[in-house]
Amino acid sequence: MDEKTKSGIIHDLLKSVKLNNGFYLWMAFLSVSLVFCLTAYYQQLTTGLGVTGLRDYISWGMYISNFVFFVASSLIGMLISSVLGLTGQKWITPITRMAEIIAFAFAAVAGLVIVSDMGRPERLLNVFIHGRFQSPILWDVTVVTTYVMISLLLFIVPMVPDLAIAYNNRTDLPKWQRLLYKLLSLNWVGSKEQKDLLHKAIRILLILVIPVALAIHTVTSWLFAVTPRAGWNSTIFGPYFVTGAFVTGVASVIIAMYVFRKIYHLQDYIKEIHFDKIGKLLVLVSLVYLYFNINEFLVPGYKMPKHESITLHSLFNGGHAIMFWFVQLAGLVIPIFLLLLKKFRKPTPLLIIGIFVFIGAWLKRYLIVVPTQEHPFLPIQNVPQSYTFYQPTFTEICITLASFILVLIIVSVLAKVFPLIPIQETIDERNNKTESHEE
Amino acid sequence: MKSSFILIVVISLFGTFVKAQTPWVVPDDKKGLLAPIKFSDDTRKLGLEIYNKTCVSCHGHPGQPDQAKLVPPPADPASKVYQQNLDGELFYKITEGRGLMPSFKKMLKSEEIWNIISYVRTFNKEYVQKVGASDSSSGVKGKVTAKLNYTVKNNKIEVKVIQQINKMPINGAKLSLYAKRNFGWLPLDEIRSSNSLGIITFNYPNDLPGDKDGNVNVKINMANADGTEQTIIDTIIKTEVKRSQYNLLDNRTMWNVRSMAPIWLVLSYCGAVLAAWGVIFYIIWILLRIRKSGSETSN
Amino acid sequence: MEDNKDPKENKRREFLKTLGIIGAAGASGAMALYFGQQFEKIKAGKKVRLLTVDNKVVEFENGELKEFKGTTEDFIARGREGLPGKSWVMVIDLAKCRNARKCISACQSAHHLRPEQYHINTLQMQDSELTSPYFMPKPCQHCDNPPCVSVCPVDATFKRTDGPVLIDNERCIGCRFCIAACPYSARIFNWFDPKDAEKFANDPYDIELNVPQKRGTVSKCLFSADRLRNDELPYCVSNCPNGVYYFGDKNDDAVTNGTTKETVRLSTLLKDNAAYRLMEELGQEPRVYYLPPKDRLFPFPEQENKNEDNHV
Repeated sequence: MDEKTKSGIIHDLLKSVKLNNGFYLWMAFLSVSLVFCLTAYYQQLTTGLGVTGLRDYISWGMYISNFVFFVASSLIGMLISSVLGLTGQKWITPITRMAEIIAFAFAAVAGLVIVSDMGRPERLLNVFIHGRFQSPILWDVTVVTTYVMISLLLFIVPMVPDLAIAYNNRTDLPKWQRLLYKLLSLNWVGSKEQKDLLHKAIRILLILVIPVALAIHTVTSWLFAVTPRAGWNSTIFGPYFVTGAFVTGVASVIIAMYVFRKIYHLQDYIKEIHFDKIGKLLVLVSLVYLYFNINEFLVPGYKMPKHESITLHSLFNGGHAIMFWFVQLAGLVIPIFLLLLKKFRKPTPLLIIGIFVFIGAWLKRYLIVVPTQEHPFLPIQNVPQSYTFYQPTFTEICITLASFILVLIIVSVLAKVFPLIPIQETIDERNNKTESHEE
Repeated sequence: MKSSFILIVVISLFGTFVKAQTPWVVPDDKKGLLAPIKFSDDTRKLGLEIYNKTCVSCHGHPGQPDQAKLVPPPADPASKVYQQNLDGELFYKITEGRGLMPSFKKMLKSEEIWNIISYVRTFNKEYVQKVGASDSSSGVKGKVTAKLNYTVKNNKIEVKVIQQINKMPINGAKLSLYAKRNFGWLPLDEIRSSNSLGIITFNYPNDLPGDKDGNVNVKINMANADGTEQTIIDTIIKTEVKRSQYNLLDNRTMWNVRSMAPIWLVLSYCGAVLAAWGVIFYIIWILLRIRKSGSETSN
Repeated sequence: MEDNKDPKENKRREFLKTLGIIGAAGASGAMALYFGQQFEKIKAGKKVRLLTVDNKVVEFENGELKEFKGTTEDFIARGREGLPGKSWVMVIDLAKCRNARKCISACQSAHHLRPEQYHINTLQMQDSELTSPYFMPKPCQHCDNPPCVSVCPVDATFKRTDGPVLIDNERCIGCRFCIAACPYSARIFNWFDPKDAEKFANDPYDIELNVPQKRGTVSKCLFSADRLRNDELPYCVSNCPNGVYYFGDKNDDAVTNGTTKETVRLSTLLKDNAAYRLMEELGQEPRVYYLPPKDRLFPFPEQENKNEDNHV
C-alpha cells in the first residue's frame, strides 16, 4: 500500500469531507438529545441549583467532577502534537488532528460545564469586571480561554496546506464548504516563504501549548488544593492531575481512532502499528499516574491522621470502596498489565481497554471531588438526611450528558467538514520513506 | 428538630444521675429573707421580661404544661407546690441552683431575681407580700457630690464624696468604678468603702485601652440602701493607653480585595497573560503574512 | 437623603425634593407625621416619602406605610466600609451551653432562613472516646486569614476593617468555592427560592443583614453587622438564655455577656479560662474564642455521641 500515489492519498483522505445522509442523521440524533437534556438545564435555571443532589455540605458534585474530567481530556492535544511531535515521533502523524479536535472540543465545553454549576450564570461577566487576582477561578477562566484559543490554532494552522489541497481537488463540494476552505487556506501556494512561515508558526505554537496545558490542569487541581480540607490539602495535586489527564486523553484518542478508522475506512492510514504504539503510550502514562496514586494514598494512609483517615476509609473499605477499587484496578492496574502483552494492543481489545480507562477516569474525578466534602472537619448535624450524602439527580445527569453530547457534536462536525488525517504531512512522509529506500 | 428530640429523650433516660427527688432544703437563715422592694406592676413587668429570657426555656409559661422534658421536671411556677415556697426560699433556689437548675448568682442581679419572684407570685391569688425592713445603715440619703482625682500613671483614682447640703465627707459609702466599653460598663475594681474623710482610692488598670487619644469614659456609682446604684461621676479621663489603630486591610494579602492583591501575584498573572496572548497574536500576524505572501505569489 | 434611586424600580426616578419640615418637627407630638411639602406621583400607584419626628424617613406606598431604610446602593456602600476603629470578637462559654437553640431561632428569623439553614448551629461534640461530650455553638469564625475570601473570584465575600466577613448577594455568582474552602462548614447556599421570597422581593438589599436572601447565592453569619452599627449585640448573643455568649470590641479589651449584660475584660476572661480557638493549626486566625466545657452547668447526657445525626 505504501506505493500509493499522491493523488491516491488525496483522494482517500478527502473522501470523508462531503456531508452525507449518515452524518445528517447522526447530527439530528445528537441535536434532539441535546435539546432534551437542555430542558433539564432550563429547569435548573428556573428552580435553582436545588434540582441537583448538591446541598450545603457536599456543594460540588457531578458538574465539577465533569469539569475536571473535560479539562483533563483536553490535555491530550498537548501530549500528542507537542511532546511527541517535538521529540520527533513520526507515528503520530495520522492522529495529531484527531487529538487537537478532541482537545479543542473538551476545552471549549469545559467552560460551559463550569457555567452550569453556577448559581447565578447571568453574572458570569462579574468574573471579568470584578475578577480577583487572588482567586484560582480567575486563573482557571483565563487559562481555559487561552488554551481553547491555542488548541483552535493548533487545529487550523497545520491544516492550511491540506485546505488548499481540498479546495483544489474537491470542486464538487457545496459553496459554503469551498468558501470555508478558501478562507482558511490563506492563499496557500506552497512557496518556500510560506512553508518557512508556517513551520515557524507551528513550532512556536507547539512550544507555547506546553506551559499553557500544564497550567490549565494544575490550576484546576488548585481549585481543590488551595482549600484546607482533608483529602484536598495535598502538595502533589498539580502533577497528580496532569498525569491523570494524559491517561484520560490517550483513552479518548484510542476510542476516536477506532471509531473514525471504522466509519471513514482509514485502515490504510491508521494501521495496527498505530494502535500498538498508542497502547504502549497508554502503559507509559498509566505507570506514571499509578506512581502518583501510590504517593497520594500511601503517604496519608500510612499515617492516618484524624480527618484524612475518615475519607481514606470511605474509599478503601467504606461507602465508596467499590467505585474506588474499580477505578484503581479496572481503570489503571489491569490495563497496564494487559497492555504489556502485544495481543491486547490490537484495535478491538485496545478499544475495550480504552473504554474502561475512560470510564474509570471519569469516576476517578468524582472520587476526588465528592468523598472529601462528605467528611468536613466539623460534624454535619441538625440537617435533613439528604444533606449528609450526595446522590446526583436525573436533572443533573441530563445536564452532564448534554455536555458530552456537545463534545460529540463539535468533534463530529470538525472531523467531518475538515480532512481528518493530515494530507500534506502524509504525502511528505511517504516521499521521505521512498527516498530513503532508494538510497 | 429531630436531633433535639433525640437529645431530649436521651436526657430523660440518662438524666437520673441528678440526685433526683431528694427535697431541696433551704438553710433556715435564708428562708426568711424578704424582698427589699415592694412588688408592683413595674417590678412584675420587669420580672416577666427577665423570666421570658432566662427561665421560660425550661420552666415554660406558668400555668401551661410546656415545661422542658427534663428529669426531674422543672417546676411550673403556677403550681401549688411551687407557690408554697417562701420568698426567701425562691430567692435562694434561684441564686444557688441545683443539678440542672443553674445558679443565677452571677447571671442576675439580686434586684432582678426579686423582680422574677414578684412576677411569678401573680400566679398565686392568695399571696400577700411581706416587705423586708429596709436597712438604711449602709445607704446615704440626700444629694451627694463627688470629686475625682486621678493619676493613671500610678494606677490610682481617688474620689472624695461629700453631702451636698452640708459639705460633710461621707463615711462608709460603697462605691464602684466602671469604664465605658462598646456594649456596657466594665467594672474596674472591687466595691470600696469611703473612709472617714470621704475618700476612696480605686486601682485603675494600667493596660486598659482608651480611645485613639487614650481617653476613657469612666463612671463611679454609689450603692443605695435598696441595693440599686446611682451614678455620681460620669466623666472622661486621660490615660496613656491608646486604642490599637491597626487596620487589617492595610496589608496586601490573598484574602484582601483585588486592589490589595500581593504585587508579585498581580505581576505574575499579568505577565503570564500578556506573554501567552502576545505569542498568540504573533502567530495570527504570521498567518496574515502567509496569506499576503500567497496573494503576491499568485498575482 | 435627596436623590435616592430605588434599584428595584430603576425605570422610575424619584426625587425627594424637600424635607423642609425637619426644623419644626421637634416641637410637636411624637406620634405625628409630617408630610413632606412635595412629592412626586409615580405611574404605578402613589409613593410618598415622609419624615417622622424621630428623623426616620418612611415610605407611603399604595396606602401602606413602611419604614424607608435606604437603597441597596446605600447599604452596600456603607456595608463594605466597616465601623472604624472596631475589632469585633466573640467568646463562647461551652460550660453554659445546654442546646436551648434560642440563638439559632433568633438568627434564622432575622435572616429569613429556613429551619435547615444555619448561620449558627449548635453541634454535639465529643473529641475522643473517653473525653467529655459537650454542645458547641458554631457561628462563622470570621477568620483574619479567611480562606473563603481568598478564593472568591469576584470580591463578593470580603473582610471588613472591623473584622466580620460579609457577603454581597448582589455580586455573588454562586460558584460555591467559598463553601468548599471553609473548614468550619459555616457557609450555606440558597439552593431554591429563599423563604418568603415573594414577600421581600421588593425590599432593598441590606448587605449587613444579607436580607432579602437570593436564590443561587451564598449566605453566611455576619456577626449581625446591622446590629453592631446601632451598638446592639448580635441576634444570637442577645437571645441566649444561658449566658453562653460574650461579644465585644477587641480594641476595647472588653466583651459583654448577651444574657447578663455583664461586661468583662476580654484578656482576663480568655486567660483565666484557658480559652482556645477552633482548629488553630489551620492558621485561619478565627475571631471566635471558646472557653472549655469545664464544670458545665448542664451535664451532657451519658450517651454515645455517634447518633444517626452525627456525621463526622
